[in-house]
Amino acid sequence: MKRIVSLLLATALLLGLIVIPAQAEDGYKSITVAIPSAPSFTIDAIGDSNGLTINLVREGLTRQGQGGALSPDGLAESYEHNEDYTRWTFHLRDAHYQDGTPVIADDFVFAIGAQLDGTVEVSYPDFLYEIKNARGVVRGTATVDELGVYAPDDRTVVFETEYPVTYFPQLITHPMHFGYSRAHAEKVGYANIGLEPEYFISNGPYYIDSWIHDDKIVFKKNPYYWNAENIAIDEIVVLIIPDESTRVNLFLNGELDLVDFDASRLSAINAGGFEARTFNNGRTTYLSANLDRPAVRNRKIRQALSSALDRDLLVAGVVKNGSTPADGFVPVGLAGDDTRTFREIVGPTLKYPYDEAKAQELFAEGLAEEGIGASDVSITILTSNATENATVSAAIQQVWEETFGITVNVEVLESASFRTKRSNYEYDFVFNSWGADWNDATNFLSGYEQTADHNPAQYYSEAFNEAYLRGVYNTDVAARVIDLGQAEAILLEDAAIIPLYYTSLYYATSARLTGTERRAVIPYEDFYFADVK
Amino acid sequence: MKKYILGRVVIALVTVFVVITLTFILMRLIPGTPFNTGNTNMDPEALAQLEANYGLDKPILQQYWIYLSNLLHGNFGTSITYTNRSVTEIILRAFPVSLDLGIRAMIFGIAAGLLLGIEAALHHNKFIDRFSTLVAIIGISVPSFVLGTLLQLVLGLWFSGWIKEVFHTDFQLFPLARWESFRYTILPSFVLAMGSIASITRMMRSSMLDVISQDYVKTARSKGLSERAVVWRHEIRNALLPVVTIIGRMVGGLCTGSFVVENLFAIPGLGKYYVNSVTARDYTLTMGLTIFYAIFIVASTLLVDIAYCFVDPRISLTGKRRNRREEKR
Repeated sequence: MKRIVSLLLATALLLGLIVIPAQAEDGYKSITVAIPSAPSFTIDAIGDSNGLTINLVREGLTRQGQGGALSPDGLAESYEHNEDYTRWTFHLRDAHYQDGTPVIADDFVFAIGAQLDGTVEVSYPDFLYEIKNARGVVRGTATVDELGVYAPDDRTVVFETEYPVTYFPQLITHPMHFGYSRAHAEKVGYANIGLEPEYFISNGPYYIDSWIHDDKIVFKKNPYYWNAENIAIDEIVVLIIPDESTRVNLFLNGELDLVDFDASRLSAINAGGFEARTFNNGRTTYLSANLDRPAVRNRKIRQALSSALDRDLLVAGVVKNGSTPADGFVPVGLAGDDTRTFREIVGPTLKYPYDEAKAQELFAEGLAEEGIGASDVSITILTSNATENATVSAAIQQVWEETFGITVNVEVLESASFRTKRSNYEYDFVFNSWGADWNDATNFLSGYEQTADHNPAQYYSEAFNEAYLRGVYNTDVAARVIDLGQAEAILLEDAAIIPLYYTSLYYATSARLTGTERRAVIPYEDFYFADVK
Repeated sequence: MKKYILGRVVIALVTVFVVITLTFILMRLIPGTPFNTGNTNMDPEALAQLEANYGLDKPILQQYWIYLSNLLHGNFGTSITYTNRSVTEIILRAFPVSLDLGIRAMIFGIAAGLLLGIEAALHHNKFIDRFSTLVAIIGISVPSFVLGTLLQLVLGLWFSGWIKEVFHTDFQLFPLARWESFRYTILPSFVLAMGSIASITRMMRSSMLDVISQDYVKTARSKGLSERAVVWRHEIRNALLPVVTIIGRMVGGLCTGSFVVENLFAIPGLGKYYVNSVTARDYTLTMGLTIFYAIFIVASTLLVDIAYCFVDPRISLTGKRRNRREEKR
């Protein structure tokens, strides 16, 4: 037995000698981070796992900067718009792909057209529908030549939009508006773009050096990037670690420089001597009503249900992750005019905050209008099986049942079945959350417009449409925010949706990583301004 | 023999065909679509185009025939969630990793299980016997995600921290996760093997106890054979047979990927695709994986059956001949 033990120890020691990591070269800065699932580098790459990686290797005409403002960096050196904000002209910098080929205006014409005319597979072409004729190209009523993206010369990109888009420079930080080299796409084949490092060329601050699928991707600083001298970190290793507890343990062990975690890991992070940081990730959690259902179709009953919910208690006692009580639908942190956020300008629009007496009063009136009693009311809340959603739904169930003496059921389903029921409107209330894809309130309100393709609450209101469209077509940046604020107030007066809280995320960084940037829109770590000590 | 194998192959093909058909029907019976994954409903026009891309707009029977004919041409199709990646590519990339992990777990499980089982039987009702019972109970009742998380915490985090403090080195004997060198394979192989260790231990122990009381063992002893010869040649050899059966059954389970272990230790194997492809309603990937799994199981069962008759000459492959031999006896 002793011999075996000593043999084992000797082997371990020998292994230790072999695998002692090579000392990093002087000044070579490398960081390691982890994401939960494999990213995608296709032209339309958006989605949960790509937020961190896509901005390393692709750059848009504009770029998000620090503290929610736009950065002066981005592929466009300058841009201007016409008087009514429907025509935007961008002048490209002298920028290059990782192979040294120049970034040209046609890259944008190609990539945006390819996502609309079926050249590459896209799930959410809606993100491009502000561009003139984009919807028509998807529907086959317009050709890609009629699309509102032009390249008058190699250094100029012109966008024409369907309606005034005052926030266009903010909007095009969304990766679907990025360009890609037509020549490279044709060389590797449209279907192969981004499948392997050799099928992809980067015009961002990093390029894909190596990629072991489902395991790790190594990004190295792109020497051809136009602003390479201001990029501090030389190498970013992205590990694919599906399990959150594993990610947190790796971080605590010093193997990761950054970790996102949920409230249950807070004590572990604190015990490890790290500072848990929280930031608003531009997302609102809310209940969406099915306005065709009995009882729920009554406005006063919906208002009563909203008034019954103590959002402070909900956030502090149930959610417990730094989220803040909602006082409107558009989350804090979303841009308003150039200096203030939307919420700062508009103020609270939640018309029916917690007020139990009012709730009872409204509920009684609502029941009378419908000619039913409390015992006739049975409400189903549909939710996905994500822990937070199911827990919060259960808390709401309890509150409503106790306050009004009604029956409330919570239907918890795995995500695909949940989505099917949601799209078939098989619910009274559905537990939803909506995150910002671009930095403007229209991102939250557009779904409730009469002509919208997908109106989640089947909500139709002349007053809302009037205020919303007035805001959309208003080219006075400060005044349009007021208009949109009115639209939001109408939506919440009707209690078509019941906002609950503005979500937050926890994250922590290693002591050496500095200058990290988290923001409300595309809430993933941006290493553009980061450095290591 | 040839005729037997041919017959088995035909049965295997029929089995696989039934599996394909059943999976196809079952997948379509689950509500939900592979698309519409975002927080809002898709533009119906865009959705229709996507469905057409994957042929999902055609009548279901036609889809089934198209799938079968593609399959006969060796085409498993492209995954729906992992845009433009072929199912074959995913299996060829991820399966070797799962197989590697599975083989390690098998070796570990068989070695530890046999050793514990034999020792327990030889020292019946002594400490080692009780210990083997404890191991078996833990192995059967503690789920792998609990055991894995615990080992990650104790060996991966605390032990590594202690080494760092004492020896001032970043060397980790038991890395927390990932799949790089031999060190990285120890914890996941152990966690994956735990269940097998338990069942092999119990099986070997009871089988040994059974054999020990047999007449031929007593005869061997009374002949004056050395203890070692009795144990090795008469007891262990004969006790092994039933264990071979359960080992055969374990191959399929261990070598095709475990969702829990691979997920926890971030191993780029096949395990997560089984679960994720179903939750994402990735029809083509689910079909491809199921067919692959079915073929693997059917083939390994066949191989075990054939191996059986080499291990135990008393067992014959065809029922008919065995009967004849029994009559002779």
